[in-house]
Amino acid sequence: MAATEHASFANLQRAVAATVRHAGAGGRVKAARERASIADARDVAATERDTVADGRDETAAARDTIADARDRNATERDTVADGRDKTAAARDTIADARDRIATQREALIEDLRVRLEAANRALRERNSELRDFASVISHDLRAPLRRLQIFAEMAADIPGKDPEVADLLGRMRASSSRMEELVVDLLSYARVGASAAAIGPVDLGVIAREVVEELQGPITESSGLVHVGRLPTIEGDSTLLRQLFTNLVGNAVKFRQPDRPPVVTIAAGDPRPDGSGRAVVEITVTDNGIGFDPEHAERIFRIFERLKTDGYPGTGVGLAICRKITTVHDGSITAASTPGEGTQFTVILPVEQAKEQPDAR
Amino acid sequence: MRGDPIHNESPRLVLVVDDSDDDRAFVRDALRAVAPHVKCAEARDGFEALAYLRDESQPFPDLVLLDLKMPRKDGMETLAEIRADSSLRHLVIVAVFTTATDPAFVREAYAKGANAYLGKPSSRAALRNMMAGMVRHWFEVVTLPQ
Repeated sequence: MAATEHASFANLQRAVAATVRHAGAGGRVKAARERASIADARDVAATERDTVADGRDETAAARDTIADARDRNATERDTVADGRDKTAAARDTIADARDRIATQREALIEDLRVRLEAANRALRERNSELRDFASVISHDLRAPLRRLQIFAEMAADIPGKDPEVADLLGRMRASSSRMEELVVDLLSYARVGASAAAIGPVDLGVIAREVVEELQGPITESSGLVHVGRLPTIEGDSTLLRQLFTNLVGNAVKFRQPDRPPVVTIAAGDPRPDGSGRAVVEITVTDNGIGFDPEHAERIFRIFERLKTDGYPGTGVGLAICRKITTVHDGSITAASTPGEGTQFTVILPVEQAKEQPDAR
Repeated sequence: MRGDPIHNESPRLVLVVDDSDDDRAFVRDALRAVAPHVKCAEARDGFEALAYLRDESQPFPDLVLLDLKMPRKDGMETLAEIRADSSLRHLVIVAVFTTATDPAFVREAYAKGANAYLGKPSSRAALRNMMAGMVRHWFEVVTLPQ
């Protein structure tokens, strides 16, 4: 090797050394710089770490908030469900109450119906008992009475008696006949309620004319006159209504003035509504007889009530029967009178009878 | 004339069923007066009447006069029993009652098989008339079962 070569190597070595020195210095700087930048990065990372931690905290907080909200939501949902349950329960309670009320109402109605029926039955029984009572009394009174009459008759038929005995027997027979009349009339009074079931259309004009026909005997006997006006057809029991007219016209002829032939007028107005709105007819039977004191206008309808006992036969049952007949027909009868001038009976009867006739037989 | 005695008749027998001694006597008295050929057998209630009718040693009546109101066995029951008995059901039965004023009662008597219904009169003359009419109707006009 040449010296130059050797020199160059030395140079190179120096250069390298210089470079290395230089490089060394630069590297140090660079390293320092890098070190600084690493520190910076570390700071940044720390900051970012903090930020991330912060974020994490926030996320956790948000998660808590959400969980809270979810809880609240659930609670509210429970509350709503509770409310819904309560509403349903209330609805059930109301339905229950409604059912109970309906049941109670039905029970009440049934109870009322049963009680009404029982009352009705009791009334019917009492009615029929009353009728039975009257009819038993009448029959059972009549049997011994009949025998009494026959024995009195047999005794009266025995010839050659003391005149006083004959007179007493005569009085006995008159009294027992009188009692028989009373019993018979009582029986017919008792029977009015029993037979008021044959309801049908009744032409009052026809009935009145037939009654006048039947009473022709006493009417002609007293030279009397009976006018029958235009009378309507109404619903009723024809047997009873016939008896009503028979009793009224018979009464008018019986209680005539001794010196004046009886004049009787039967008249009727057109059907009109009464106080409760049902159609009624007003029938008047007017006479010119002896009349009576107006203060007795109600008394005359009582059974066995007689204002006149001298010279006028009868038991005082006729007008009581009239009252019963009008009552049975859901009507009324009243009397107005002027003594010495005459009497007017006013009968008010419904045009139609109620559909349900109790105790029909 | 009604009420006059009826003569020259074949003997007849009426069974009078009535709890009242007086009423049986009245009927006997009336029949004797208006129809002497009609004899009476007597019973005081339904039991006695049925016993008489079923007793073969007793003469069988042509007609039964049956009071409806009697103790023990009344007329309605007796009537029903006679109509249910094949050997008695042809009997002519005249139902008798104190009054004839209760239509339901009269209807019931006919429904149970009475051939006639009479209300008891309250005078001897009326009873005689009634008995005369009954005798004439059943023993002269009508043909009775033998």
